[in-house]
Amino acid sequence: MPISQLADCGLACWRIFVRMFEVADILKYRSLAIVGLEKNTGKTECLNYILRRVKGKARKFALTSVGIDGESRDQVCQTPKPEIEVPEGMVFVTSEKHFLEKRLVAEVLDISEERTALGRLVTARAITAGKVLLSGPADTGGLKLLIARMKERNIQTTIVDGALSRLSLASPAVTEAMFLATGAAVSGNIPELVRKTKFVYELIGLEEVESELQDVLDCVEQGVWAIDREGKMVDLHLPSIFMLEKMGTDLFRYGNRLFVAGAVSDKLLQYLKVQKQSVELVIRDFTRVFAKPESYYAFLRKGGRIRVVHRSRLLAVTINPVAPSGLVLDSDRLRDVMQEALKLPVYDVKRIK
Amino acid sequence: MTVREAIQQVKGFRYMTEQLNICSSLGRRCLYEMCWLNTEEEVCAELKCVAEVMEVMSTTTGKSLVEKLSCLLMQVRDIRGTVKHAGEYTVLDDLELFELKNFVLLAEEMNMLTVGWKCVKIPDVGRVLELLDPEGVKIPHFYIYDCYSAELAALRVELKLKKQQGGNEQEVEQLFLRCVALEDEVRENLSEQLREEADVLREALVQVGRLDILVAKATQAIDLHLSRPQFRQDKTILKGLFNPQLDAALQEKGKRFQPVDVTLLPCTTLITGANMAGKTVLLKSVALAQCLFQFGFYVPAVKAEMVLMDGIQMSIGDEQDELSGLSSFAAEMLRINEIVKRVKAGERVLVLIDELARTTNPLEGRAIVNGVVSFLTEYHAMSLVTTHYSGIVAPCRKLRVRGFVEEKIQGQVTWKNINDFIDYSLEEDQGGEVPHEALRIAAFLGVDKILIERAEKSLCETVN
Repeated sequence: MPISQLADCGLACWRIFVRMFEVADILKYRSLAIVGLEKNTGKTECLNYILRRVKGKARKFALTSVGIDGESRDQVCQTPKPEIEVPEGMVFVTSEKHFLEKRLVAEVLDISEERTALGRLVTARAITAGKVLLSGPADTGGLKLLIARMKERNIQTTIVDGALSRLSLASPAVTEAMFLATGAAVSGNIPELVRKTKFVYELIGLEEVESELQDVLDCVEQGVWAIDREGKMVDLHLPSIFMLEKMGTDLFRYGNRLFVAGAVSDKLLQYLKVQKQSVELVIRDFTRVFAKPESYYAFLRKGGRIRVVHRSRLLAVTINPVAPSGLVLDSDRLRDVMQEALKLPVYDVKRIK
Repeated sequence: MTVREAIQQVKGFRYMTEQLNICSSLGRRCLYEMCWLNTEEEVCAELKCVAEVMEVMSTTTGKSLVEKLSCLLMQVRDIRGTVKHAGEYTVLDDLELFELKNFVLLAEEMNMLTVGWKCVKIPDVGRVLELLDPEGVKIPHFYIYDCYSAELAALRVELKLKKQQGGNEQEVEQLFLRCVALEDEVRENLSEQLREEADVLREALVQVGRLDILVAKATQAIDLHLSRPQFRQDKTILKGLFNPQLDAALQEKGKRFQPVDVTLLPCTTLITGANMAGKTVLLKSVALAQCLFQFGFYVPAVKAEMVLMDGIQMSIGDEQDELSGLSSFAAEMLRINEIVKRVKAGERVLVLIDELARTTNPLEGRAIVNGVVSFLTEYHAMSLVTTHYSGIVAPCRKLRVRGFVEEKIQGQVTWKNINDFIDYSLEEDQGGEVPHEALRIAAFLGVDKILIERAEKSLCETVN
């Protein structure tokens, strides 16, 4: 029996439907990302819920995505997926191709000059409510710019449908706030699921570097850099972190702070772990960590620290107890365990109203 | 030849076009497609247009007007594809209609700002605007407005109501599809009416592109102190010729480019002078001035009287010949042959050859120079040829760069300050001997003494 019907059965009705947030709360943030830990974790349902909730103030919101979203069938698993329904008056950004396939009346406000794989990006305002496929900027810079430009259109908050996909070049971590969707699709074992979610939760919560350093690091696109005691950046001229061993101890001649613009792999953390001095690693944002939890925790145990250039605030976690395989977890237990582990509000995506 | 091709040929021209402050991609594309102007009327007309914009910019009100135009131009997109579509039997989609509306709104504003201008005439696009802005709000947004069709408007209301009441899904879908069909009808209708306006739109695009180019040309002429070239039939006189790219580079080091006066006659002018005396730069500057002139730009000189040409033929040996599998000598000979062909065919080409035949033995090299010089003079080809060879007996006019000025020398001469002691101006050369300063300059440049001494010894032996 699908979980939605289960909910309708009236079992413990008094606690089933909960409100996730107040609209005014999210209007405080300039941008908000909905990030799924895995496919089929109920990200789109969470997004639709938010869209329904903000309907009354739709004109203050804009909506976009990193990567393709809103397709009626999952592009990978071919499982049915809920479509995204844009409320009347909301501004949305999608690619040319998806704009022309829209199922609503929308007023074109702007067409970007830069191109994505699916054509130029169209900014439009929904004249009537309706369904649309969302796609967005191809890289983080484009996403940041898009959010910044929304200010000119009197938009208070931009909602980003953010795939946590390692394939997407655009990182949803540039947003100020974030909802994280997780669920049975990540793991069918509750402790394992909680452990995996907690790892990402910890990464999202990584401490931010001081603001002077933020401005400097924002301009650095690539490479491995040392940050000396005065906060000056020195390029270590490492073509790749895979060349670490070749550099030897030279890596720390300017101090023990390193900035890695690219990915943080198991190998990097293991290498840093065995160094004599404890290392402070600075990374762009939490999506750059590709390492396994084991390596990450081992690095921390050895006295290592990781800080990020940009942190977004995690507002809540949603869980989807149903996996595409048909597996259904005990929603209440999952929620309680998760809430206990994260100390953060956790909602079942099927029961939010 | 178009600007795009000329950029490949004349090195300094790329710098000038890149420095042009063109606001729109439309303008930039129009610039690259501009053609080499062959007749006096065409060049004259273009220069007149630039002068007109400069005239406008000479007043404060005019300046702010041009600033306003630049702001509008910056918003212009290159919608030639869409305009082409509008002229065909296709139905335009919402994005194309949006682009057209956006463009005509800008064009209309530019039209009002340029009333009375002779150089650009942006056509009246009122009819297009009427079609795309039925509510007359003049906001650059677009969708299939309710007022295009009363039926559509009614259907939309009905659909909204049905949805709000949570009506039967199939009925809602039916209503939605009817809306879509009606919208398509409106689009078809609009496209048909816009088709009649395609010519106006095309002309508007051309004129807006032109406006962008002219404003950029005028701004550059003012900023770089360029001058309006005059026409002449018999010879080209360039007074105070300079090279803006080198001047900018020198200014960064706190120095200035020394302007040069040069006159070109319809014969060969042979230029000699010491190494480092600026002969190559002179050729490049002349090529640049001619190129700018032919595309209707102002030229980098204090005063310029110029002869129109059909083209420029250059042989300056800094191209990468190895890549094409030719030795530098072979590549040069092929370039020279190209020059001969065009001159023989009766084309008026400006010929610029740097250190002709320097890569072969001096005996034959000198013979080649004599041959080329006498050919060019006989065919009255306006040409500049630089050389280090003495003993050129073929009929030609000879100039030499003054070069090292002994009196100017102060303190130690090194490769860093050597340029300060060189006088780049030209003078008539009566004698046939070329300057012998190569070894001296090599010494100034700090070349190892062991080499210089040996070379000097060898020189003494040959002379004796």
